[in-house]
Amino acid sequence: MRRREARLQRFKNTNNVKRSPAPSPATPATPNPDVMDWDEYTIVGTSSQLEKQYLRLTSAPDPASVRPLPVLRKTLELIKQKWEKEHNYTYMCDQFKSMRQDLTVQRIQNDFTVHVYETHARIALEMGDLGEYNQCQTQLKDLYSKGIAGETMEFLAYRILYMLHTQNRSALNAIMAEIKGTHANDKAVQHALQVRSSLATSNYHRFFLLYKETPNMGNYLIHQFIERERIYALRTMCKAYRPSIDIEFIRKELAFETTQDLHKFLEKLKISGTLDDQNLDARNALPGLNDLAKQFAKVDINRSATV
Amino acid sequence: MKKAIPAYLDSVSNAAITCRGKQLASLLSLSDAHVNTLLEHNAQSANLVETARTKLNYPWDDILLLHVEIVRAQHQGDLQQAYEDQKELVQSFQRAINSYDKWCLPFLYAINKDLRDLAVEADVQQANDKKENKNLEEAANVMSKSFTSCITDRSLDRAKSRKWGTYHISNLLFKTYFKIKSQNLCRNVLKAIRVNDLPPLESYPKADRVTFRYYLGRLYFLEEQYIKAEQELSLAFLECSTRSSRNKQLILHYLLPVRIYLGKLPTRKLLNRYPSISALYSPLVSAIREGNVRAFDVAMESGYAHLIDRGTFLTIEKARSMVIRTLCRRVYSIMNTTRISMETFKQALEFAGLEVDMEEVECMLAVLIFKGYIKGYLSHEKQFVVLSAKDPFPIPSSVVVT
Repeated sequence: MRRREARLQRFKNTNNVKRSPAPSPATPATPNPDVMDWDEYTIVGTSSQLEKQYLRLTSAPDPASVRPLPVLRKTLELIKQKWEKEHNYTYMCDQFKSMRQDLTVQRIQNDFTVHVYETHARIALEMGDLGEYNQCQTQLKDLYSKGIAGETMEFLAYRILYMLHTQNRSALNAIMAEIKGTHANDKAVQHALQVRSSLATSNYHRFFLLYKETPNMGNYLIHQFIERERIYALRTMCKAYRPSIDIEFIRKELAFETTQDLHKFLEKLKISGTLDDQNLDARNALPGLNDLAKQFAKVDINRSATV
Repeated sequence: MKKAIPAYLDSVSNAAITCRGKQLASLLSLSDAHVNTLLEHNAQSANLVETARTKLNYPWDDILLLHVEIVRAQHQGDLQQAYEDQKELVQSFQRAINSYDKWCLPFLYAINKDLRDLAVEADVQQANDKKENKNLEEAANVMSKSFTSCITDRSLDRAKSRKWGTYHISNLLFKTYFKIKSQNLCRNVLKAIRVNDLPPLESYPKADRVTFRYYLGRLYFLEEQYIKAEQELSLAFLECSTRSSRNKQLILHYLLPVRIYLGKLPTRKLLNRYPSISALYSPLVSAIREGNVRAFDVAMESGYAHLIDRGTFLTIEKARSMVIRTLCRRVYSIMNTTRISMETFKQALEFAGLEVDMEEVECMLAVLIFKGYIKGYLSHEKQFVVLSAKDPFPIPSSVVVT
């Protein structure tokens, strides 16, 4: 009874909507379909300056410094061109963050927003910036769930590959529950699922074959854990093969482009045992590989539920 | 007609004074028959309050009045209100709980269970109305205080201590944490149990013990501590009464994957005892026993949804190595020699329905040797497998899984 009365009260005074004070809106009277939760306090920017440095907001922004959607579209094109030419990651990241900020304060959530996050995510992947990639991936997951169009399959595949890097079993199980047959047909997702299953069954042969044909930017994610998988695979081979293993065979199995690359890998990890340029002494190499493999054993006390 | 309500109040008062916990629990639980009496008689608020305050002492007067409100709200479908009031009811009792010892436990269990159930129902209703549904999370917090009031009871008379309620409330908490997918919160409960001085688990009621072990087993399972998981789940299964067929099956859904992973397959007899278990696991178990890789893959595909839902798919998947191991062992018994060409194994795998190139066959063999399922070595140049003369295929359950 009391709650119904409270509800009636609310509708009596529409002016009593609780919102943090914003500058008096110079907004059009018609709602904007690109903006979710539009109300008369939504900001519409008026700046026409394409590039803008990112500054953390401490109060409501001045619309004169915020770029409206048409301007942002031009900004994105400019940034993309500059990236191709200059490859200045710091600059580019900064520009993307300020674009994202302008989109957020104007509450614009549409396919352009998705496009901005997707582009930023791809570049972050290329540069190995997993922190930034994760931020974008989180936003994208939210935007996709609202039904906004984008490269959902491409990024689902990235999510799967990312789980393989972190070896977060429960998160992986959760994704697989999400997929359950619905997105099974997409090539990128198929590929990621096959990578998952080959790792789960310790099928290094299939894993490295799949690695050579990864769609989109997936390889940047696989690179995050490829050394780990090479160590595991080589360790297995050294346990099983006697007395030695052909270097060329190892090179092919572990998907090294050239023999030099393989030698560099062995040297860097201080794996002893190259008898000559043709063979690896399996028995000699094994102890070193066992030690290396230990560093990947998962011990996460903080995530543990038992004590 | 009008006598029913005063009579009800009298029985509540009686139960409280004579310390009859079970009686009190029924009289104030939402699943008891008296609920219908309350609804039928539709006691007038003013009258009821007066009568309650006369007949009942603190905290039972407040508790009873809340209970009547809750019954009404629940009946009218205002589940959010019912939940909020139940929360207040539990909190009211918690404020007074230090005056009560072991006898009040059945009552404590009942009100917490009702709290949890109402929270779940209210959340469903909120979700349907597209509103925020965090009631169960909040309820967990409240229940956690009930847990604390049990485990920190310092009364000198051990036999009458509220500590005897610890495991029962823990189980309610575990069930809740699992439902809200915050299994990591179970950690605090377990820590408290380990740190506080409690009577041994064996002296608690069997039902508490079985349930506790079930959840503990599931937690170990989540952390891939399979040997510990097997211990707890096995004990739970053994002690679980055969009459609780549903509970037996719930335990099996985790015990079987763990055992399979450790190389211990269930007997046909066990599987046949529970048709739903058999439907899901028999094809898998047969495939593993026969070394039929194709059948294993097919069974995994058809059971995919069920196994993923329980979070056991990834564990059972690891048993694929075991299937290949058995296939190889059969090749060995046919060839009857310790030197076998890799080509032979390739043919066997192809015959079993797999499409593999030679390098993949080598990889599978190498992995089996690495894991300890095959004792021997490989020669890449000669394309041969050389098996150990003694016990080249050790029993899977004796192999320590990495």
